[in-house]
Amino acid sequence: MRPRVSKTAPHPALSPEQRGEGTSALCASAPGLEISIDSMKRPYLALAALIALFLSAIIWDQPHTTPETPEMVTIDYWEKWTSFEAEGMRATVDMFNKKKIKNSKGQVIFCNYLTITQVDRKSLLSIAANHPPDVAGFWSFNLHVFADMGALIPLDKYIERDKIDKDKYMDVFWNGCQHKGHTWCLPSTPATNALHWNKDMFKEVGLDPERPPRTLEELKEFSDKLTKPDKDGKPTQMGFLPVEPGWWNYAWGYFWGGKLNDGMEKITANDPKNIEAWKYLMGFKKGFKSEYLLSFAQSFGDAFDSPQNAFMSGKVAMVLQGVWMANFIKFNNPQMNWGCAPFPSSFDTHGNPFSMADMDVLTIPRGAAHPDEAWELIKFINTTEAMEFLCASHGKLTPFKTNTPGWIEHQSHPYLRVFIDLARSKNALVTPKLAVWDEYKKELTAAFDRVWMDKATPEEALNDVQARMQPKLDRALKVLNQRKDGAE
Amino acid sequence: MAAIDTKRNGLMLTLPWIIGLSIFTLYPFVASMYYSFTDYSVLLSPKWVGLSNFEEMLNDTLFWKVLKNTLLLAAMTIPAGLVVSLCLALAMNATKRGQVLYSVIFYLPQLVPPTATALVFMWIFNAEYGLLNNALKPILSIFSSSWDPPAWLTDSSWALPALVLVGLWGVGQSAFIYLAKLQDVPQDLYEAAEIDGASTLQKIRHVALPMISPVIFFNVVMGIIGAFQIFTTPFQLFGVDGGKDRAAYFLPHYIFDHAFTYLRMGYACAMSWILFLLILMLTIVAFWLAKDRVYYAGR
Repeated sequence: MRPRVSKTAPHPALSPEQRGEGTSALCASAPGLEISIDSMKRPYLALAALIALFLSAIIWDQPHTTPETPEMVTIDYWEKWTSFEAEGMRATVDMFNKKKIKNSKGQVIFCNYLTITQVDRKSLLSIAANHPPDVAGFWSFNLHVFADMGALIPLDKYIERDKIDKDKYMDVFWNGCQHKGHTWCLPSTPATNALHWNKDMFKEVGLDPERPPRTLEELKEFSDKLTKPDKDGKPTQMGFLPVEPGWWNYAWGYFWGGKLNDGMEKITANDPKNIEAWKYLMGFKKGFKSEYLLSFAQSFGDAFDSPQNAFMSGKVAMVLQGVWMANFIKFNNPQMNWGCAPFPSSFDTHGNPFSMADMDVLTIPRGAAHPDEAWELIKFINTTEAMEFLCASHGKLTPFKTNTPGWIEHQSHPYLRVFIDLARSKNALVTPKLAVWDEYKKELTAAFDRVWMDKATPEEALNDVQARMQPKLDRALKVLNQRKDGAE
Repeated sequence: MAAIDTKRNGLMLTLPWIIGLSIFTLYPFVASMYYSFTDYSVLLSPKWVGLSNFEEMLNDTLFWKVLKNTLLLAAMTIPAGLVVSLCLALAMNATKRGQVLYSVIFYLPQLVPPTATALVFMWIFNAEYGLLNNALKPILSIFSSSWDPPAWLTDSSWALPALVLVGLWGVGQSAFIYLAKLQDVPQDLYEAAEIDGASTLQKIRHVALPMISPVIFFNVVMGIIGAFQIFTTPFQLFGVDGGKDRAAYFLPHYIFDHAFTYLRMGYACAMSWILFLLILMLTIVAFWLAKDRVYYAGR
C-alpha cells in the first residue's frame, strides 16, 4: 500500500535528507512522496534552465542577417556548385569584392558566397519563408516554374537602365532567360552537348580514329563494330549505349525532327518522330538480353565523376555528353585519346546540328533584402572579363557571341569550338518552358526505361506519357490562369 | 491544494515539450489537412479546391502503382523482419556464453546512418562486382551453368527483394527487444512444460511465444508504421526516379516529389492523409487481430 506521508509530519523512517531537511536529489524522486517546499525549487530551476536553453537556441538560430554598416552592405549568394566549379565561382566573386563596387547609397557591396546543395529546393523554402538569399544560382530548366509562381524578380528594369546588350549573347542563351515577355535571369555558365568518342577504341577495330559517325546509319554501323560480347553472350564493350549516361533520354526525338510540345499548351510526347527515334535506339541492344544490358550498365557504378565511368573506362566507345566532360576526363583518365563532334540527326540540318543547350543562371528571388546590390553582382559576372574567367575555370564556353581574341585557343578544353558552334546553331534547343516540365521529363525518362527493358513498345510508352501529361498540363494552366485572373 | 500543485508542476515540466509538439507536430498535422483541400505550391497562397486533389488521386495510375509497391514492400519486410529477428533472439537466448557480445554485434548496424548503409549496399548488390553476386555465382553454377545471379538494383523484379534484404540488416533492434523479453520468461514455465514432455519447438511455440506476444505485437505495429514511411534507403539505392520501371518508387517518395519538385504541396498533403489513414487502419486491424492473441500477464 502507498505510504501516506504529510508535508508537516515527515515519515519517521526517512533520513533527514529524505525528509526534505537536506539537499539530496533523492527528495524529489522518492516515489509516492510529497515534495518538500525547498526541494520544489529544483524542478523550477531545471525548467528555467531548459527555457533559457530553448530561448538561447532560438536567439542563436536567428536567420543569418548580413552585417550592414554605413560603409558596406553584404549580399548573400547561394550556388549549387562544389569542388573546382565552386572554387571558380568563388574566385569570380572575389574579383567582384575586390572591385569595391558601390550601391546608390555609396556603400561598398560585399558578396557572401555559399555553396548550397539542392539549391532550388532550399531557395524555394527560403522564398516561401520570406528570407531568401539576394542571388540564387538556378538551372535554366526550372527557371520558368519559379517565374510563374512569382518567386523571382524580373530583371527588365535593370537591363533597360544599365543598357545590357542582348545582342552580345548567343540567341539560345538569351532566349533561355526569357519567359512570358520578361527576362528573369542572366547566364552564369552555359553548356551544349555533343557526341564524344574514344579514338583508341576506334583504332582497335579498324575505324578511322579521327572520323566520328556523321549519320545515324554510321552511328549504328560503327557501334556494331565496337560492340563485343563474351562467350556467354554478355556485353563486355558497347559501341553506343543510349542509356549511358541517359540524361537526355527524353530528348532523342529532337534528333529525328520530333517535338515534345506544340506551344505552351500541348504535349506531343507521341509525335511519330519521337516514336521513330525510340525504335531506332532500341536497335543498339543488338539482341542482348535486357538483364545482361542492365548488369553491364550497373558495372559502371553510379558515380559519373569516377574512373569507372563507362566512357572514361573504355566500356562504351561513344556517348552523348556535355561540355563539362573534358574536365572529368582530365581528372579520371588524363591519358585518354578522345574526340567530340555534333551528334548526328536523321535529316539534313543544313549545317545547323542539334544540341541540347542548358545553362546555370543567376536570379534575384522575391523578397531579397538587397535586389539592387544583387543586380550589381549579376551584371559584374556578365562582363566579358568576369564571364571569361568563370567559364575558363569551369572549362565551358561563354554565353557571348564573341570572346576576347585568343581566349578560346588558351582554354584547356581541346574541343571547345565544337560546343560553341553547337550553341550558335539554329537547332540548339533549350528545354521547353512547360508548366509541368519536371514531371514530364521524369515521365519520359521512366517511359524510355520501360521500352529499354522490353516492358512496352515505344508507341505504348509514349502514348501513356501523352495520356498522363496532357491533363496535368491542362490542370496546371487552368490554375495559373485562375490565379492570374484573380490577381487582375 | 497538493493535487493542484502536482498538476501545475507536471504541466510546467512538460510545457517545453507541449510547446514543441504543438508547433512542430500538431500545427503541421492540422495545416496539412487544410492544404489537402487546396491548390498550394508553397510559393503562392493556398486556393481552396474542395475534393479535387482526392478525385485526381483516384485517376492517378502512378499513385496506385506506388501504393501497390508500398503495400507489397510492407507485406514482405514486416514478416521477414519478424521471423529473422525472432530467430536471432531465440538463438541468442539459447546461447550460454557471449550473449552480450552477440547482442552488440547484431545491434551495431542500427547505429550506421541509413544513407551510409545504402551506399554500402549499392556495392554489395552490384550485379557485376557485388559481394552478394560473387557469393551466389558458384552456388548457382552447381545447379545450372546458365543461371546468373540477379541484377538486384536494375532488374525491376528484384527491387523489392533487395530492399527486404537491406531491411534485414537492421533487425538487431527488434531482436534486442525480443531477447530482453525472452529473458523475462519465468524458468518454471519451461520446467513445467519439460515435465509434461514438451520438445524444444513446443516450448518455443507454447511457452516462449505467448509470453513475449506483447513485444511481438509492439514490433509488428512499429514495423507497419516504419514500412509505410520508407524513404531514405530506396531513394539512395534506386535514385530519384524510383528505379527501373519504378519498381522502388514508394508513396513517401511520390509525396516528396509532388511537394518539392512539382510544387504541388496540396496534392502531396492529400496523399499524406491517405497514407496516414492507411497506417491508422492497418494499426487498428493489428490491434483487433491481437485482441485474443496477445497475452498480458498483468491482466
